Amino acid sequence: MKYILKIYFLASVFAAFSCQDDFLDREPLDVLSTAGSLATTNELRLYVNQFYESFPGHPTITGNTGIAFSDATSDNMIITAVDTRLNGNLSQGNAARLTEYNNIRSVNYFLANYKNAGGDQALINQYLGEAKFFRAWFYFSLIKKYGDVTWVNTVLPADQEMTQLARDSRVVVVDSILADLDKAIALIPAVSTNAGMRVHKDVALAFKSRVALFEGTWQKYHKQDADPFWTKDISDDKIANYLAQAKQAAETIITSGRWSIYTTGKPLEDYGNLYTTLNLAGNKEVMLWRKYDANENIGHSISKYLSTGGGDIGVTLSLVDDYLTRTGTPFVGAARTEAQAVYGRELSPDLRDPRLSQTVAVPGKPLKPSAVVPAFPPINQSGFNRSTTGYPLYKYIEYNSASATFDDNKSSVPAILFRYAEVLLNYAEAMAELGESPALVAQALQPLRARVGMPDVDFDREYNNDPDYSFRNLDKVIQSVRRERRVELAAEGMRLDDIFRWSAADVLIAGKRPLGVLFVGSNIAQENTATGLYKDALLYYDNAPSGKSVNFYLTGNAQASLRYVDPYQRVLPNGFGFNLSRDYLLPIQDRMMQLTNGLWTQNPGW
Amino acid sequence: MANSLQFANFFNAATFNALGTRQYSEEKLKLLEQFIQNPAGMSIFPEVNSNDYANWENSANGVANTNWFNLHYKPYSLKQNHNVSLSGGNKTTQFFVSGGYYTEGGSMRFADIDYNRYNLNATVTSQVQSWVKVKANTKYTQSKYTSPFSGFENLFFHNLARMRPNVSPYDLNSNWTEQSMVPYLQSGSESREDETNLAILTGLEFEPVKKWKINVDLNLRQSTSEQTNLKLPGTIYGINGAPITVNRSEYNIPLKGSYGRNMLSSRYISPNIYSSYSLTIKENHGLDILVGFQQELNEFKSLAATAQDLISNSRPGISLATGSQAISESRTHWATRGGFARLSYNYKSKYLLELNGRYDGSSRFAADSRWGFFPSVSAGYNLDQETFLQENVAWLNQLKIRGSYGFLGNQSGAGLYSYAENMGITVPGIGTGGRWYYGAGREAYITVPGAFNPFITWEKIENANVGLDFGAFNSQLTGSFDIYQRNTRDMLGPSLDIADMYGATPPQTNNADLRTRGWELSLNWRGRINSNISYSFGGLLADNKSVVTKYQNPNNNDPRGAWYVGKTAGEIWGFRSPGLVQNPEAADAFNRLDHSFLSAQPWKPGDVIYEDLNSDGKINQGTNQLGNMGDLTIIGNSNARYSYSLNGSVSWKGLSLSMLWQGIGKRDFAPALLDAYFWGSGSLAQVTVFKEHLDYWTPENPGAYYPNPYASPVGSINSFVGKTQQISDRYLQNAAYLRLKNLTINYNLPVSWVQRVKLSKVNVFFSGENLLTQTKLAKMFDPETLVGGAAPGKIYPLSKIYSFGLGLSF
Repeated sequence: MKYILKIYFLASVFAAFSCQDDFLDREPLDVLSTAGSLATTNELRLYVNQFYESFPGHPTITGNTGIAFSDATSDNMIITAVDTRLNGNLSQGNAARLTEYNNIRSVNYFLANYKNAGGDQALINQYLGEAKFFRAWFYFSLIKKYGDVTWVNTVLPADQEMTQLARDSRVVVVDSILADLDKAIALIPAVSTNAGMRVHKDVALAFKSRVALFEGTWQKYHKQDADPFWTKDISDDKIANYLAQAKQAAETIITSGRWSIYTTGKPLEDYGNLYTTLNLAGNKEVMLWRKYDANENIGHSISKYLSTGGGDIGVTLSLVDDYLTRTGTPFVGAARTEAQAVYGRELSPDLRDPRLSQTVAVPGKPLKPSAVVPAFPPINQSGFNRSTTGYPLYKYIEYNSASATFDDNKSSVPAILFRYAEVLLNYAEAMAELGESPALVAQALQPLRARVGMPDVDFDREYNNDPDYSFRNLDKVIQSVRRERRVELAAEGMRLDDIFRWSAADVLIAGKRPLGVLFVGSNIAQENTATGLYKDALLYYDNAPSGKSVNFYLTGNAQASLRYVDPYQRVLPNGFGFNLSRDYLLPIQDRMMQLTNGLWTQNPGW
Repeated sequence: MANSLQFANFFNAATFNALGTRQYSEEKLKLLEQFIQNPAGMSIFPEVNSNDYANWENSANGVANTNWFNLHYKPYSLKQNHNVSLSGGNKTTQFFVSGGYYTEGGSMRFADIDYNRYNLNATVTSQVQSWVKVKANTKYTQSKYTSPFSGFENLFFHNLARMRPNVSPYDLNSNWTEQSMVPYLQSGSESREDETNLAILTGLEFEPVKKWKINVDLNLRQSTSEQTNLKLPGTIYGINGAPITVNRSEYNIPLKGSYGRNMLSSRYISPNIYSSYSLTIKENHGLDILVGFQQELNEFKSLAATAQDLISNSRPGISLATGSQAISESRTHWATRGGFARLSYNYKSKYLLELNGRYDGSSRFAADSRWGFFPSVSAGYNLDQETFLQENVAWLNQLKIRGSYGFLGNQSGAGLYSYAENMGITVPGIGTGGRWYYGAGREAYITVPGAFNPFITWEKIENANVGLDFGAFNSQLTGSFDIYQRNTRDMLGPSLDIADMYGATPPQTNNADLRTRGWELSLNWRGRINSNISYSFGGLLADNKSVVTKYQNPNNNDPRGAWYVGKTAGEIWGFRSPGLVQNPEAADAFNRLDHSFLSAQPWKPGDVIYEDLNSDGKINQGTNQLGNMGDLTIIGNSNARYSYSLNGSVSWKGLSLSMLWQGIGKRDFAPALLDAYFWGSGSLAQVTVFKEHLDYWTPENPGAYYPNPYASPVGSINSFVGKTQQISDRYLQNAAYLRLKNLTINYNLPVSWVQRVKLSKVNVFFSGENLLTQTKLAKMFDPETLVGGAAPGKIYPLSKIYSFGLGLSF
């Protein structure tokens, strides 16, 4: 009996743990399997959603990043510190990984698997079109930074040899981008409202015009300058073809009549309001935009920094001067210095293109719920409370919101990604570059002028041949088109790309030094006294009394009657050190050359 | 921390060097000086006359002299520890029960931090039948941690370090300012973690036939943790005394508060069944055979929910909120299963030989790569059993030589599911998840499948070990010495580097071999002077070093970051520096070199000279390949070498004193570019000035330790600190240390007193931790907290801790 008991005991114990074969098969529990993935249109949608996260947004810190502040890496705005790239101070050690390929891999995975999906063909087409659009988006980012890159359209294996691929000519890459966009244009239906917040046909067309114009002008002007950045065997016909594609894509949008310039008939407000309207749904000018909602902690910080007095950023004199007078003539000569003598007058919509006073802070305008823009610029303040040039940026400030002006990440003004104004500008520029009728160019730009109550474009009247004007040697039509673009798109993150594709760093950047407001010769200097508004933080320049030191720089010598704020004088005595035969493209990491066995080569000059 | 005037002067020097501007005007410096000398009657905030918190920016505004560390840190913290135990039984059944209580207060002045823990252990063993024995061991612990850091602990320490001393923690009415962070610590925000752990180890031991044993053990661990997070905004006061509710966005506190709960649980079950048989042949030959089976299953689950906009701050709840809600979950599991066998043989207990084998499978690997066989062998020789030693060396009690060789499998380095291709999904939460608003609001998104490797398998650890155990002088002296080599084959080394066109991080592969060689020595002496006084002391000394012996990096790229064959674990690459640039001529000489790799800015007096080691006229990393590293060379090693501990105790009657010293004999620490604690200067918002940083170069202070300070906005700072903050031998820190880790004074109450109250033992004790430290490391760091936190040094302080306690045994 005892024996049987023992055997029963032992047998039951072993039985309890006897093997189930699948004990060690432990599939993940809380993630999606790739087996049979992307099988429904809903999965396609959620998958494509990841790419929307890559669209640029507004800055969460002060500095030179985000849509609103990234013009501070150009001649439009500056921060306290000199931009490393413009100053030729980038080094090989700054070379970054080509992280765009991560998203490109993701798109390629989609393209390899979307056919698993059944269901509504219209939806499948929409998401397939979006995927093509985004692949174009990521490659465009790569060619702008690096020029020639490898066109990859499959999901590569994790293998050192299989990834040894040479760089393709940028022309090959751009043609592939345009082909992707053509597919997207064909697949995605047109809509006449932006409320869906997804990429639609006209966005793809607008992006196509942006890419084709970029490449057409890049090749044209770098070829003209005979620098190392154009594609050596490119023909003038090929260049003209890019410009024609840019024109044609824009024209398709224009003739559709689905979009128009936003106006309510208030030339002094409409342009500015476009950037501070929290909900742009239904706006006829805005084709694609990024929404924010600080209540859900999805916000940015523009208003906090700009409402402190400048956020340590400033609009340059060069941009302020480029706005035409209210009568549509260049802002030069005696009229200019006369206006500058009283701070704020040179910004006034009475004298200047009203877009200026809706872009740069004008004394007396609301800044916070309880404060207005001070009568004199906060150039004597420190940190965020200071404006580097004396022209604080005003676009985007939510002056009515206490929380937005108080704290980081509480600003909610939208980031506009594609608007109809750019389509008109692309159209006008492509036509100007193709040498088409100036009257048609002027006609294309007319709605932009009409919104702000400016006279229509007149290429002769507004031609600026002032000896100090950077683009004085340009064709009248092209000069005008470029000015209109700079003014209309100021502080929207487009300027550096424009300078680079025009191969214009030689006249705009290299050896130049950005300036600020007129100081000596204006009423600002009068405040820099023991009884003036600057009495708590006096500015010393040229000479300082004993025990004090010079902390502020002005152009010219002590005798000069007109002296402008010259923020970089001490740190940049010879102007920006931009290297014209190197800095148009970024360096490539050494490891790329090694890992591809020399199939990748370094960019020119690096 | 430096005072406000020192800070302002440092800051001015740093911005002037980089930007040509100064934030603190001459007038402001004078006010700061005056405030330090005599603050009476001065306005702490001449710039503003409102308590609007945006005015209290961490800026040059304000005239105060705040030592932010002294404001927030207490000099010490207190612990309590109490234990009770009970044991007893009879011939067939024995039990032991003990319980304890431990509590620790935090070392923050305004943050109420509290930790307490209860534990209960019970063990019973019983001989149920002559052939069946049952044992059960239960351990239960329950702990609770509360603090007001509802998710912003790292940011708090990060912010504390970069607060400027000229900013006052009090406003114009002596209320706390927003910048003081005190309103957030005292708002009622609470993060709380309740954790319970139950571990049960039960076993049955059968002996159906003499010397044949069968053991059936079951190891079960269940732990649950509940985290609750109540976030409430802080309150500051306006100039008119009216309260203003504030919520700093980086702390992610919604203005109307939020409440969240996260329930985590994990369960571990491991049956272990083995059977052994021992036999003795002709008296002298002992043989043990053992075979067994073991499996493990671990399951983890968590479910978290948060809601914002509380209806009532005093009664927070997920369904007592009106704002948006977010839910997330996580579930994982892993399992192993295996069989093992052992054959041991001894001859007269003098010669020992053992053969081991394990055959293991793991759920972390795909079916085809799942199983591994790991054999090992060991042998020993008890010399003290030899009669020639017993007769001739009488003072030697014990001497054993032993050696082993074999393989072990390791699966813990492998990701739970790295063999499978899966896609993650991100759902929107409060301030988290996708940031794009679609027509109907934010949506979830699926991400591309992560890289995976279906062939991932066991790491095989090949061990070889020779050792010696000895005892002498009636075992007053005992010790052991071991020397070993551990060769990890098919190690899951860092992912191989491939060209960026691949577009992902390559998956883990069994791509490396790592060889570790080391030794350990321990010695102890236990002595007694008379019947009342006994003492002991001893020490441990150990060292090891690991070298990569196989890795897939054919061109030996990036030897600083990546692995290569011959790389020593922890090696630090850096430049050699002969010192600082002392004059314009020396600067010109350096500027003739191509230093654009470090910074294209010209060097000036006070910047750091980096040596052109390979004399090619360029200061750079060469092609960043081993053998062509330009001017970089190995300047040190961050791994701890020669770790040691020393202990000693003396007891006199019931009173005893014991201490433990521990230390590291050799270790280097290289402050990285922009480690604010070490360098002081950096981007504008990160400047952190300690007294040590004031010793920076000026023409009047040419022998300074620190170079020119530079401060500028984030985007441009690297081009300045590239001239001064490169990793170099000049700023390499010696992180070796010796620390009095613990000192305890214990008193056992006399037995005669104790027995009167029917107890068997009562003791009271007092102990102190981290009382003394000897190190050459820069003073702003603690040698034990160099790693962790937001950046080196920015971590909950390791303070001196005093504790007292009481133990009772029945």
